[in-house]
Amino acid sequence: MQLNLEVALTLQEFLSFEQLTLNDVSYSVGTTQILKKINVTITKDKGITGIVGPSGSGKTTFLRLLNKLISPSQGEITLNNSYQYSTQPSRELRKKIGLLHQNPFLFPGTVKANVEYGPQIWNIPLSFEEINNLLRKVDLNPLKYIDRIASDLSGGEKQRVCLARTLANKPCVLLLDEPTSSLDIVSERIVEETLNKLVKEDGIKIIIVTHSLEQTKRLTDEIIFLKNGRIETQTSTKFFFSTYSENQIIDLFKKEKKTNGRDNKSE
Amino acid sequence: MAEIISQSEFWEILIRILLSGTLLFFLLFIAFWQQLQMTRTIIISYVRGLIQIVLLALVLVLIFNLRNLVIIYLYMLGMAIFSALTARQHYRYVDILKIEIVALSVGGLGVMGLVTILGIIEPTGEYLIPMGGMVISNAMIWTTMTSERLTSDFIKNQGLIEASLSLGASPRMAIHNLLQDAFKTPFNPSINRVAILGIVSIPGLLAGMIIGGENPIVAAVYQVIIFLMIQSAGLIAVIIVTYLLINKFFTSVDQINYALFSN
Ligand SMILES: Nc1ncnc2c1ncn2[C@@H]1O[C@H](COP(=O)(O)OP(=O)(O)OP(=O)(O)O)[C@@H](O)[C@H]1O
Ligand SMILES: [Mg+2]
Repeated sequence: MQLNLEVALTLQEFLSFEQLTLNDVSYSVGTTQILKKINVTITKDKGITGIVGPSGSGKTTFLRLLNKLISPSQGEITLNNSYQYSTQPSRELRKKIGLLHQNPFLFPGTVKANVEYGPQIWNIPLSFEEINNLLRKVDLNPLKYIDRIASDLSGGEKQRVCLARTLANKPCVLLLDEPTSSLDIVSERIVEETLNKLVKEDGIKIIIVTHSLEQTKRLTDEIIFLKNGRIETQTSTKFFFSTYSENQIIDLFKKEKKTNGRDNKSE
Repeated sequence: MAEIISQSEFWEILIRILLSGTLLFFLLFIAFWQQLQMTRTIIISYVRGLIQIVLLALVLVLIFNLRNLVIIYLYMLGMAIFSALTARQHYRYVDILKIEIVALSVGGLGVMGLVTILGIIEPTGEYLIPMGGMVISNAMIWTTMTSERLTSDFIKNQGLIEASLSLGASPRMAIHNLLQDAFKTPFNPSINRVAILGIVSIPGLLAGMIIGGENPIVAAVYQVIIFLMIQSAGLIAVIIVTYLLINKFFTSVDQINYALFSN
């Protein structure tokens, strides 16, 4: 049996990212509805989109749907108004719409092996210089880190290697699930700078889940507020922070008074 | 077949069985003491095994005289199906029966067919049936070890597998490391056994053939051949089982089949 990495599939190209549309998208596990009839359009011209909301509101699930790691139980996701997720090959979609997981799972081996992993899948050569650049973008000194064993790294280092690994695939859309949750303030700012550059210089669309309101304010241009598997509001970041006071925002996060406790069940 | 067993032999055997019963008690005691909750399984397995093998011994005389290859191979197919039924009981995530039947038949009967065609083994029941039995039962052990290892590794490493998939890897790429470990799980101990052959271990076939009056050199060569057969059949069966299992672990759109592992 062939155990070697398979030859890359032919890439089905779309020119550039314009928009993602979710049409009545629900996602259930068993009888529990995690996302409920989501209707939203995320466009490129709105800049960086932040997904905000209380823990357990469905943010990670939302990103996993966009990476096609899972498929909606109901509804359809459409890319650029023409590519329906359900009919597109998952692997090509995942390459184009890259996901950084909330937990940094690194492959056994060195940092270099991890960064190369994506391009290797697609048989795209990655030069030494490119690997170094990727590491610099996530505030890791290449000289120091390139040959380190991934499993020995600290949480924050792992998180940054994961980001470099996702970037190595050159995605058009970058889905980031709390990318700086374990980083110190310096690394956090450097990563944010990198993200801003990716948007401005490479034209990448970024959709980021974050728990930090400060980061939301600094980094995002648009906010999608998720709560209990529903979109509570979609506004510009400016509008959001000028409309709501800090206390009102905290109220938004608070769990709804349970009416009769069946809010999480399918309706 | 006037007399299968003489009276003095009968009593001697009975005493031996009762004495070896103490070993069973010892086994049960350990299982009970270590709270393995396997007492029932152990008793049932042994009672069942004993009845089966005594019955086999009785029909063996008939089977050994078989010269009809079709019947011999049908008998081996029966062995494969029976082994598959057993393997199924210990695997809880999917119904592995069909997978095991395919794997054990192709691996076991395939290798047996090959040695028959090549003339390595005499095409009589006397040789084919016991060797086929060894090859098939061993292949079942291999497939069980591999599928258990693969499944538990899969569940443990879902995060890594997802990370790999999310970069665009195919399911097979995503579990590349797991597959290698799963293959090695049964293969390593088996190849070790070959390495200590004759120095540490005196395998059953060799002992049996020598006791039965066979030339010791012929018996020894047969033993090496049987190991080759066991490992080829085991490997074929294991490859088939992993291939078919992976197809169940992932959906047709290269997603993890989460529903399979959710309970
Ligand atoms: N496979 C699953 N089976 C059962 N429940 C699940 C599953 N996946 C997610 N959930 C539930 O769905 C809800 C949303 O999960 P999700 O991970 O999307 O939340 P989140 O908004 O990312 O939370 P956090 O901010 O804590 O990361 C949670 O209540 C979670 O327990
Ligand atoms: Mg989350």
